[in-house]
Amino acid sequence: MPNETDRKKGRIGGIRSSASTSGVKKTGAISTVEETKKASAVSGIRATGAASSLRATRFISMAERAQLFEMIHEEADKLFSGKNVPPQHKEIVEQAVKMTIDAASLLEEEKKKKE
Amino acid sequence: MISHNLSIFRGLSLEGEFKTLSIEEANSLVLEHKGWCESIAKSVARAWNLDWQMDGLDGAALEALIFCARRYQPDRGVPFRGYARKRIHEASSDAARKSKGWSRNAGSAARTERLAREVSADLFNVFPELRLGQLPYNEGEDGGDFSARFAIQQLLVGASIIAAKQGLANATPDEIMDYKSMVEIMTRLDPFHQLLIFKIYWEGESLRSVANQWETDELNVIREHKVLLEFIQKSIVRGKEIKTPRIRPGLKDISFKLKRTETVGIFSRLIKEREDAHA
Repeated sequence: MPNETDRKKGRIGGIRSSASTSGVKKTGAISTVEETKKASAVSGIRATGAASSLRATRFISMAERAQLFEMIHEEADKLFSGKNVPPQHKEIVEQAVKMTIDAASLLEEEKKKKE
Repeated sequence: MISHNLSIFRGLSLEGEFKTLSIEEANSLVLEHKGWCESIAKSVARAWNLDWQMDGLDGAALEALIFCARRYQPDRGVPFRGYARKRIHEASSDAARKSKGWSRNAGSAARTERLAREVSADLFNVFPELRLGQLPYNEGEDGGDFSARFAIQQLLVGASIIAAKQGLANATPDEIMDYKSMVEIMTRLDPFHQLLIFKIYWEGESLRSVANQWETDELNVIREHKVLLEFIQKSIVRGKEIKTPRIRPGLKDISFKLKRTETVGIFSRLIKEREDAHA
């Protein structure tokens, strides 16, 4: 037991023992178990969102060719409207990209299919 | 017993390799795809204003088709056309470049066509997906008009760099200064980025081979190349005020290693050497 002097000085006078556990209650028995039920049918499937990382590349078709050529002309005009590039450079570059698109697409085979 | 059990997996040899077709099967594959193969050679010839038979594209394409049919392993699950198209296209364009028709034309209009043809042929090496009939598309875009436009922009800038490289080699004295301004845009880039452009456009290396040399993921190099082309495009259009791109984290280690030995970019050095020679 802490004496008067200890109480005044704020010292810890002693430690009481902990109370012993009185008892542990048993768990109750499981009263009932419900039967398993059937899962409901899948109501629908939503489309996945667009892939955010690498996109798949797209094939160039005959129909796209003219559209792409027009686009090449527009973009070349925009790109070379400044003074940084020589004038003949635009012509070479535009023609080169058009040639590349042409050489990449299988127009002959498409023509055959249509025939 | 074990070897017997393993051999039941169709198309797999005991060493785990895929089997090629028999000669008869390969020959029938050639006959089946001959028309398609010719259409690739015809497309290449038509685009570059050549004769697909006179200039030998037909033979080169057919040879590539036979080669592919004999090496084709169906059990890998890749469709034959997907496997063979790039090789047939490569063979056709290689034959085109070696043909007489390639350098046949003379005169100023023909000079433009000849130079355009050279640029176009090199463009296939920078964007190999074109050989498969596909446009290089922007990542994460909708795959529509915007992406096609982005792909066209990338092709135009790529072609511009190739034309500048070829122009510096073949230009008349008054043209050299014009091409020099194009190269000066590249001197604004970090030395590491200058090296990347130099390797692809001047040394003719593929993006994949650069990635292999640097022991990095190919996607790092592909994405960095796209960013660099965007920078060059904006610089051509707007001038000097464009902020230079940063090096992506996946390539920083390689750039640090490079900077230990190379502090000046390769294009900066080329321009300086040229100026010193003229001084």
